[in-house]
Amino acid sequence: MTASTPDALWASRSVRHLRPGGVVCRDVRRTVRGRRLLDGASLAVPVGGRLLLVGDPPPAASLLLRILAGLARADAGSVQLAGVDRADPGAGGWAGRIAYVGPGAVLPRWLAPREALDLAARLHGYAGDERARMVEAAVVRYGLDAGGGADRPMRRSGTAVAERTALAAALVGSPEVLLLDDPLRALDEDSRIRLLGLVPKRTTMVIASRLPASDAALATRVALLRGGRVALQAPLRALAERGLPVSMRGIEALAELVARPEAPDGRRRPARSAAP
Amino acid sequence: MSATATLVRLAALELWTSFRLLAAVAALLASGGVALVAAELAGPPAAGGSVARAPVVAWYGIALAGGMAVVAGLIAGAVAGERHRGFAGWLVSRSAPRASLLVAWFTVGSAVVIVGGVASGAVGWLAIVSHGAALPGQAAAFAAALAGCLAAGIGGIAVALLVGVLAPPLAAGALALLLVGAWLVGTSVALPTDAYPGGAFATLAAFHLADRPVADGLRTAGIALAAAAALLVVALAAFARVDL
Repeated sequence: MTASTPDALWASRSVRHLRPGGVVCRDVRRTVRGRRLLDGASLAVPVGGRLLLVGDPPPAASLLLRILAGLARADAGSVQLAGVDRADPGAGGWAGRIAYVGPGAVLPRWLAPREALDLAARLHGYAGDERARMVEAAVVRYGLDAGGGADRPMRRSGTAVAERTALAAALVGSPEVLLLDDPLRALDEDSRIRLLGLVPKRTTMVIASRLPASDAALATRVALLRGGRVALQAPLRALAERGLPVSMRGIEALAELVARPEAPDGRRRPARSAAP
Repeated sequence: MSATATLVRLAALELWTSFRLLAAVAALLASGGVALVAAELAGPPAAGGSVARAPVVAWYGIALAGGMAVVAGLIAGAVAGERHRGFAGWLVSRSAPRASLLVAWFTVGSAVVIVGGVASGAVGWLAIVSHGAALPGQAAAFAAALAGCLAAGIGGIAVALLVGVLAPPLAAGALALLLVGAWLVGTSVALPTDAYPGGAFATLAAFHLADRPVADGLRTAGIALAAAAALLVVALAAFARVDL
């Protein structure tokens, strides 16, 4: 098998027709401190899909992402990522196929970006020259070598470098699914879009965002999580088609329109459940 | 290098860069210093050899238990901090098994207890012998009692992990300090018996008077290690369920 085989597979007609699930969760429930944040949330994102997930309240979207990443548990429901059931005990290497980048700078500040990348590669099981090559490629690709910054502890380089490093480390090993929880907020919008644009096209991406307008360029679909359920899952262009802004208010208005479409006489029809 | 070895190195570096390692070793060495001070304050040895419950030995045991409680507090704070900051979650999302993460902290904490405890024991032994509370020929008995205490200290690390997994950083540090302190200091002033984990501290306080000090020391070490293993299993089970 050559290195280009996955790309060839990805480009094949059958994969494009089948659109297998990159992220699928069904009826996920979770109560935190007596508050039901997720109450039957169901979501499906095809392989290579880019979904902007907006939560009302925002912690619900973060929690769903952390459940998908295996960092938080669900009280009920099922999760399938990259075609593998989360609950399947035989799913070897499941964690290696997904990546999660949380909000803020979580890496220890005493680590240098190169050390953090090396750590990520080690945990993935890469060794020797292959690991060194992978780390070097990530340093260059994500612009971490400017001014010798790759070998400087992150406490001396600032939060932006720490967040950039966290993203680069997450992508070591070419994960199939990338889960981003309000990522790279220390970077300006252009840098954020440019960096996240480096994610390979076939990687399925779910972005939980508190500022939908600034992340809209990265996604093709939007989902609204309200009352613990997915109240809307639609193409982002649906907002523009209805003249709605890419904002929390605009997405909520779209969810209302989908749930209660306008009748020909101009009156609103009774609400119906929105299928995820 | 396996994932666990990488995580052990990472935990040791975290302790080193946060100065917790320095504080932990200092706390354990200070217990040896307490024995030296106690020997100085107690004055010359009593005529006719050892006396029951020699104050130098008793104070050394209490100070060592306190030092181990400090180490437990520091480890609990470090584990809770790593979890709270999101780094534990980052490691798990990068394919590090949750169990390996906790085992790494247990390994590093136990190593600190053993290395610091042995250094403290050397200082403590010199103080005890110079005071005349024990004879140089009782070194093996002292070493066996100390081994039991170190095993109890390892049990304290397991308690620290359990607390660090469940509580926020500051509370975890304080709670582990109190719990392990109450357990180990409490047993160091109790009657000598090997029937409970931590009984080694009671054995240490009277090692110079015991009939079979080596056997007692090794037995208490075994009981303490069994307790540490059970506590580690509980901590691992808790860590498997906790949100990161």
